[in-house]
Amino acid sequence: MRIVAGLVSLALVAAHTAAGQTRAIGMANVGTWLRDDDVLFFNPAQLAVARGTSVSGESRSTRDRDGALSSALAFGKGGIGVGMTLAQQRMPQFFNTPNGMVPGPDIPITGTLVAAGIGQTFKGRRVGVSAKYAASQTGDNRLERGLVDAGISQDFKRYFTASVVARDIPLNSTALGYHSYRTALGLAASFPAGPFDVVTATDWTVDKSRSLDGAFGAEASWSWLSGYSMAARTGIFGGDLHGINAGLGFTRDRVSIDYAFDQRAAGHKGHRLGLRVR
Amino acid sequence: MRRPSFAAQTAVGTLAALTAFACTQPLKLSKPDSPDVLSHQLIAAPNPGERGSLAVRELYYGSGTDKRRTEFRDSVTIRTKAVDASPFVSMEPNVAKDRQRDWGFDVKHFPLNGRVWYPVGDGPFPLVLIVHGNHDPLAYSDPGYGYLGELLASRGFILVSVDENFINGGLRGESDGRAWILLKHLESWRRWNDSAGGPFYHKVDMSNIALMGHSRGGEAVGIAAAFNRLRHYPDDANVKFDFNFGIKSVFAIAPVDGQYKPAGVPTPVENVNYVVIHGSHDGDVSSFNGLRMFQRIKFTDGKPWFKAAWYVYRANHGQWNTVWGNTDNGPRSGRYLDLRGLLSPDEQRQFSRVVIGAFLEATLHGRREYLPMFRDYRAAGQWLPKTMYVTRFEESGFHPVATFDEDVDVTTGSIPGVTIDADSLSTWKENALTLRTGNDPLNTNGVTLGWNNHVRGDTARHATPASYTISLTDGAAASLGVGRESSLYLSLAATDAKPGPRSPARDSTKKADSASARRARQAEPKKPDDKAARDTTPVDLTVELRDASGNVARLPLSRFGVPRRPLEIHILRRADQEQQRFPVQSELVLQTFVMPLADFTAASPQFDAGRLRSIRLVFDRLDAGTVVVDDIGVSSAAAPFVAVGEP
Repeated sequence: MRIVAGLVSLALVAAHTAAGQTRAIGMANVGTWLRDDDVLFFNPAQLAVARGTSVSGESRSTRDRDGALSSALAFGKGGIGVGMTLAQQRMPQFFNTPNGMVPGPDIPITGTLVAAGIGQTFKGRRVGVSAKYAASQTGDNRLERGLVDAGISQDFKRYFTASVVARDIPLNSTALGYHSYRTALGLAASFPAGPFDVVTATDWTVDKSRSLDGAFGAEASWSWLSGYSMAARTGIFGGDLHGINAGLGFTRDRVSIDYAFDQRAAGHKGHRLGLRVR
Repeated sequence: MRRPSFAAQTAVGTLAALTAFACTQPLKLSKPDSPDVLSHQLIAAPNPGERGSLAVRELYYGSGTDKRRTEFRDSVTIRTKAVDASPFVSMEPNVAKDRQRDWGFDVKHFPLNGRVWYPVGDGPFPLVLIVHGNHDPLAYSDPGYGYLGELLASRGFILVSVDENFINGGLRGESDGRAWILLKHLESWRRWNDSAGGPFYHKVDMSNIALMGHSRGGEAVGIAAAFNRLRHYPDDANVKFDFNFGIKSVFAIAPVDGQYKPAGVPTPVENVNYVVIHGSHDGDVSSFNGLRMFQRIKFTDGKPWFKAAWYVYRANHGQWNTVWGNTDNGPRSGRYLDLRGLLSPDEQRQFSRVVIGAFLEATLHGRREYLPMFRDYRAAGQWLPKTMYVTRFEESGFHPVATFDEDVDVTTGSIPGVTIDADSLSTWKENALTLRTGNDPLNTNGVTLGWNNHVRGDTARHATPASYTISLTDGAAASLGVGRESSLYLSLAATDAKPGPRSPARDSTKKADSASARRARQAEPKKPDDKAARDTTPVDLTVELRDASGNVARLPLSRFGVPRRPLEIHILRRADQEQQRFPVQSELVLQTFVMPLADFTAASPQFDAGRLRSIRLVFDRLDAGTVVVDDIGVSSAAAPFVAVGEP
C-alpha cells in the first residue's frame, strides 16, 4: 500500500502543481512571467496580457502520460482564461503470497485539474485570480479539492517582469491529504542579444513548511523573417525532483509547434509535443 | 544505429515543411528608365549638391546642464534658457515622471539645444533649422544631418540641427510642441543676431529663414510656418504668439500629416516656398502624406512662391538621416522590411544634397538658375541619382481651370465659362484621390479617364481616338490672362486599368441579335488577370490646343515630362503581409506637366496662344489605358521655371 500511496501522491502533484504547456515545461516549468494562455496555471495576473489557445500531450512511458488544454482571450482591460490538465497512470500492483510477490492487475490513477481565471490591469499593474478544481481517482477512491490562486505582476522598464503569486490556497480541507499552499516569486527579463530575442526567468516557491524550491529557465529565439521564428529552451529545477529540461519551438505567424524534454517525473524522461494558436 | 522514433521523425518533417514556406517574396521593382530620362543636364549652374567654397565651423548651444548629452552639457558655446512647452505637449503623469527621471527635466523645462554648422565670413547668412522626427529617444537623431550641415555651411547657410530627442518615444499629438520649439529657437537666434560681441552678431539674415523637418519633424515645420503668423495658439487662445520671423522656405522630408490639427482642421499654410520629398520604399511613413500639405499650401499675397513634391523611387524613410539608416522601424525591422531594393545611403543622400541645396540656393540666395529642376527634374538629370522620380509642381501664378473639387458636375470647370466634354471614353468620372493605404484621403479630387480605341469584335480596326476637351469662353480666357508667355499645367498619372474594346456603332437597320453582334459579344474582354504580366507600353497622349480662330497646335505630353505607369512598390518581405496592409502595390502620385504655350506656337505658328479657347487631350498614342488627371490650369509666371526648356 505504500507503493500505492506514493504513486497517488505523484499523480496529485502532477494535477496540483502549476504545470503548463510545452514552452514552459521546456524552461523547467518557469511560468509566472508568461504571456501565453497556460499562464493560467502559474499566475492569473498575467491573464491580463495572455492570448491564445494551446494543447499539448506528454508521454513518459506507456503507463504514464498527461495532457493540457488552455485558452485565454481578451476581456475588459485584461483577459480571462480556462484550462485543464489530465494525468493518467497505470500503477502496477503486487500481491504478497507464500511464493513471493505476484503481479496483479494494474490500478488506473487519474489526476485532473480544471481552472478558470481572470486578470486585469490597474494603473500599470496586472492582478488576477483563478479558481481550480483538483481531483484524483485511484481505482474507486476519489479525492478532490477546490483551490485558489491570486497573483500580481508588473513590468519594469522595457525588459523586466516581476510577479508574486499566492498559489493553491485551499477552499476546503476535507479531502486530498496533499497540501500545496505556496507562495511564488517570479522574475523575468527579456532582451535582444545580437540576432536573438532572449528571455531568462526564474521562479521561486516557498510552502508552509518553509521549503524553498527554485527553477531557472531561458529561451533564445531567432526570427529570420517576420512571423517566423525558432526557439531553443532549457531550464534547471531544484527540489526533490531536480533536473534539467529542454525544448524547441517553431512559430509561423499565430501558430507554434513546441517540443519539450521533461524530467520532472522522477525516473522517467518525458517527451511533450504542443500546438499553440495565438 | 538506433532509428529515430516516429514522433521525432514527424516533428522534424513538420519543421522542415514549415521552414520551406518561410521564403521572402522575389524582389520586384519597376523597370528603370533613368538611363534615358536622366541623360540630360539643362541647368548650367554648379551642382548644388557639392560643397561650396566657404570654410565651415561647428558649435553647440544648449542648456549646459543636459544629463544625457555631453555636447549640450560640456561643449556649449552659448547657453540657452529652458522653455515651458506644457501647453503643447501633454503626457500621462507616470510617463511625465519617468521622463523627468530619465532626462533630468520636465515639460516645463525643455532645453533649446542645437548643433550649428556655419560658414566662416561676415555674413549675413540665411538661417536654416532642421529637426528630426520620432525615433528611439536614446539613439540621438540630431547628428544625422551633419552631411547637410557641412554642405550648406560651405555654401553660405547657417544650419542648425535642433535636438528634440527628449520629445521622442511614445508621445502622440505633440507635433505642435515640436513646431513651437523651433520657433523658440528662432527667438534665440534673433537675440544672438542683435547681441554685440556674440559669435553671430549681425551674421544672421533673419529675413531669409528656412525650416526643414523629417518625419514628424516634417509635419512640425509646416505647423511652425502656420504658427509663425498667428497671434494666438489655436487650441488655447490664452497662449499668445509673437513670432513673425522671415520664414521663406519650408522643406519636409517624408513627413507625417494630420497628427496635429489646429482647431481640428488640417494645418493651413500660406505664402512660403515648400518642397516635400518622400521615398517610395518608406517603411515607416509608407504613404506620401506630404502630398496633402502640398495640396493645402496656398499663395495669396501675389509674391513669387512655389511648391514642389518629389516622389523618389527606391528611397526609404531613414537614409536621409545618417543615424537612422535603412531599418525604418527599429533595428529588428529588417525581419519584415525588404531592404534589397533600396537606393544606397550615399545615393539617397546625394538626392537630398542636390534638391535641398538647389531649393535653398533658389529661395534664400536668389539663385533662380536652379528653379527649372523643380518644374521638370530632367533639367538636372546629371546631378540626380539614377532612379525614377515623380514630381508635382505649382508656382504662385497658377490659375486653376479644372481641379475637379468644386462640384459634382463633370461638365464644369473651376471658374465660370469653363465647360468640359468627352468623346468615346470608356471611363469618365471625378473621384476623391487616396493614398496607398486606401482609406487615407488626399483631400482632393481628380478625373479618371479610360479609353480603348479598338472596336469590339474587330480588333484590327482603330476607331476615332477618345478625347477629353476643356473649352473656355472668351470671358474665361480673359480672366485667366493667358498670353504667349503663359504655360499650361496638367498633372497626370497612368493607372494599370485597361478598359475593354469599345462597342461598335449601332446599326439600327439590323436586328439586335445579328451574327456580328453575337461575335462582338463573344469578343468581350476577359476579366483582368492580376497575375498577368504588367503592360509596359509607354503611356502618352496628345495635347491639342485650339485658338479662337480654330487654329490647332498639337504636341505629345511626353515632351514635357515622363507620363509613367505606376511604380511597383513592395516594402515588406512577405507578399501576404504586403497585400494585407496595402490594397495596391503602388502609390498614385500625379506628375505635373508644365507646357509653355510658346512651344505650341513654335510647333504650329498659325496658333495664337493669346486666344486659347480649348484644351483637348487626345488619346491617340496608346490604344487603351486609364489616366487620372488633376489641377489643369494656366500660369503667366512660370517663365523662370521653364527657362531652360525641355530635353
